[in-house]
Amino acid sequence: MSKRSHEPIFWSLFGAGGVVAALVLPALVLITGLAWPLGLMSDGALGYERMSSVAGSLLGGLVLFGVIALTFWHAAHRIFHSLHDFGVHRGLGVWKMVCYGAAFVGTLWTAGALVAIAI
Amino acid sequence: MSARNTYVRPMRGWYRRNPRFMAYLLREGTSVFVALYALLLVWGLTALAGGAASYERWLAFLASPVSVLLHLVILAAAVYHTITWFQVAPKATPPLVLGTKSLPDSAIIGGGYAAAVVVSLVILVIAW
Repeated sequence: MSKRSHEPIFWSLFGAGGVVAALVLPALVLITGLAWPLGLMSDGALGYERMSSVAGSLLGGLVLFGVIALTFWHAAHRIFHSLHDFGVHRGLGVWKMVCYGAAFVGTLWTAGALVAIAI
Repeated sequence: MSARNTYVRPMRGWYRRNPRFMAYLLREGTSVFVALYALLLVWGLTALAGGAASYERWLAFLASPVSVLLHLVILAAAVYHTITWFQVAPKATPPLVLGTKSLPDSAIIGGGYAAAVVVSLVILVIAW
């Protein structure tokens, strides 16, 4: 039996993360980067009380987890496959561990922070 | 054993040879800024988990000039990602056959853009 590739798993995460990032990131960056710092939003829109209840709720927590974790996997896959374009052809197994390992750590970190907010 | 001395085409500065290569590099390069933004958000969540005082420090960082400048770069990358992502979507989507014709590429791309606009507006309305 031939050894099956892990690539479909990583590609699926990359694809899902790409869609999620394409749909939500511009608006989120606009909020945290410009609208809030420039005082364009309502008072407390990003305040501690509101954000705690949003991130601490089941729905809000799951959405945030999905967005952040999938974004990590999307970026990790792209960065890993771009190494070739920058002349990195050796030690790809190690680089794969570094890229996807970083996404894995990011996923655990996101989950840990959300659980800590919820409890 | 004879050592073969085959010609290896030099690849230095390959992305400057064709504007399409540069566009490809920028598209793939968005991932670095997208990852950076995800890190920024996890940092925010970690600060939120740490209590009101630590969360206020994260908000204070958001208001700093460094953060605003960084966000401008990330915003450009995120928008470029959205545009290019849906531009290549027809190549990754299984063909959708309606009657005898398959869904045209422009419909898939346009649908993606429309979805992005709608989702963005929903997020902005909820957050405001």
